[in-house]
Amino acid sequence: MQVLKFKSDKVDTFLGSLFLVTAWASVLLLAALLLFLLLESWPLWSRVGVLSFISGQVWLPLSAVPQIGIAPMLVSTLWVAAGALVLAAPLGLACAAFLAEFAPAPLTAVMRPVLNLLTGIPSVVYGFLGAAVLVRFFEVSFDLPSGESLFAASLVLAIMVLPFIVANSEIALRSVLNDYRHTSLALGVSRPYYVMRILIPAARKGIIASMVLAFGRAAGETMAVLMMAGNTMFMPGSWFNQGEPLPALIALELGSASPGSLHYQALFAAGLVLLVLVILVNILLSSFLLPKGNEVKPF
Amino acid sequence: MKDVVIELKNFNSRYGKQEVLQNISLTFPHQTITAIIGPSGCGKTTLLRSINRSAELESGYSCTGDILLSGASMFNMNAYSVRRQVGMVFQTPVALPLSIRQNVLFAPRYYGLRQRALQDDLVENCLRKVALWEEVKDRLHKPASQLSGGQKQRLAIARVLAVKPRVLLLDEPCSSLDPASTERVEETIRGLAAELCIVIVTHNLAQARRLANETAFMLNGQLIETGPTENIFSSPKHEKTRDFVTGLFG
Repeated sequence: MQVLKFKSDKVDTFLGSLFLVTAWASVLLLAALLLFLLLESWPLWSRVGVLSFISGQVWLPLSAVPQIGIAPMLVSTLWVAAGALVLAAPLGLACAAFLAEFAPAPLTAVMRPVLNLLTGIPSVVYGFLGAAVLVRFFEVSFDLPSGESLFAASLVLAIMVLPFIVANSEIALRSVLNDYRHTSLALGVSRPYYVMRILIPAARKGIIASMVLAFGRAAGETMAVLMMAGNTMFMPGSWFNQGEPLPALIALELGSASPGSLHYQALFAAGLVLLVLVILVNILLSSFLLPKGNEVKPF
Repeated sequence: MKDVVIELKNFNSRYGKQEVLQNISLTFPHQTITAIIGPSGCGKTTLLRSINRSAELESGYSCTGDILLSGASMFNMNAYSVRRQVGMVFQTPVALPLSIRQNVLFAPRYYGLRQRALQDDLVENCLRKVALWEEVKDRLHKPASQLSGGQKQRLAIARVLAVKPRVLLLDEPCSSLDPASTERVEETIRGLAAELCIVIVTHNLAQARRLANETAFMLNGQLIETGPTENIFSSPKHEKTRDFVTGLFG
C-alpha cells in the first residue's frame, strides 16, 4: 500500500509561473508608467530639448513665444524633500531606536499603532493644519507678509514621512542579531553605548533604505506642499523662500491645460522628471549600500 | 586554600513562575578552573548569567539569596561594574560587527581608554593571551566576521580580558567548534587559570575532566555534588552523579 504520493509537477509549475508573472507585472507597471509619461510628453523633448527644459528658469508655456523651464520647480522639490528628510531622519531614527531597544513593552504596544495611524491621515488634512497653524504662526511671530515657505512645507512633510522612517528603521534594528546585545551588555557597557556602536551601524542598510523611501514620498507629496510652499515660480534662494515644487505645479495646472497642447506636454514632462529623480535617488543610494570588498559587514 | 572570588549563598532564581535555580550554595576560588556539568536545561547557563548579572536584563527574571564577589554582595554594587569584573563568553562564537582591533577595544573605549599607544598595547596583550596575535596581527583592521569559529571564540575571550576581569565565565565555549579549535581554546583557558577564577559550563565530560580542578554537578536546578574533579569522576558520593558521569543519562 502506497500512502505517500508524489505531488503533481503541474501544480509546482503553475505556482512557479504565477509568482513569476506577478513579480514581472509590478516591474512592467513601472515601465508602462515611464513609457506613458514619455509618449505624452514626447513632442516637447524634441522641441525644447532635455537640458534647456531642466535648466530653464522661466515657465511661460502659454505666451506667444512659449518659454518652458522647470529649474525653479525642480530646485523647490529638492529643497522641500531634502529639508523634510533632514528634519525627520534624526527624529525618526531616535524614535525607532527607542521603540526597538529602550521602550517597555506596554509603551511599544501603544506607540506603534499610533505611529501606523499617522500614515493613514490624508495629506490634505496635514496641509490644512499646516496652513491654519504653522503658516499663521510664522506670520505672527516673525512678522512676515506671508508665512508660506519651503521650510513650512518641509516641516509638514517631515511629520508626514516620520512614521515611515520609524516603522522601517525599527524593523531594521530588530533584525540585528540578539547575540550582539547579549555579548555587549555582558561586557558591562551601557545600552546607549551598545545602540550607538553596534546596533545602529549594523542596521544601517535598512535605516538608509527607510530614508530613501521617505525621500521618495516627500518629493512626490502634492497636497500639503501645495498648501504650504507659497507657489511662486522664482528660483528659491534659500530654505525660507517660497517656491513651487513639481507636484504642486502639475496639480495646479493640469486641469487648465488643453490635452495635446505644449502646456499639457510640458506638465507630463515635469512628471517624468519627478519620477526619474526619485528612481535615480533610489538607485544611487542603494548602490552606495552594496557591500564593498574591505568593508566591515553587519551580517 | 585559595581566596574565594565568587560565593553563592542559598541562591534561587526564577523566570516568571518557572523556578530555575534552587538553593545553590557554591564557591569559586581564585586561580582555579571549576567545571559545571549536568544535563541540558538543569540551569547551568542561568547560573552563569546570574553571576554575571546579565540574567536580570531578561524580563520576568527574579532571584533571592546572595552572591558575593570578593566578599561583598554583588547586588549592592553597580551592575555594570559587576559585569565588567565577571566576564562572560557565550556558547555561540560572536564577533561584533567591527574590526578585530575594535572588537577588543569595544568595552575599554566605553571605560575611557583613549590613548592610541595604550590601546595598541592592550590589543596586543589580550590577543597574545588567547594565542591569536600571531594569526591576526597583519589584519587587525579587517572585519572580525572573517575569522573562523575557533578564532572568534578566542577573540571573544580576548574581548572580555580587555576590561581586566577577575572572573571568566565560559558557557559551553567549545560546543560549536571542531576538535583542533577546541584544543586551542582549552590551552588558552588553561593558560588564563594562572591569573583568573574560571568557571566553565560544559556538556563534554572529557573536557571537564581534562580542564577543571573542581567540578560541580547540577540536576534540575539543584546542586547535587561538588568537589575536586578527580573525586567527582572516580568516586562520586551521590548516586545521581555516578549515573551521570558514567553516561547512564545525560
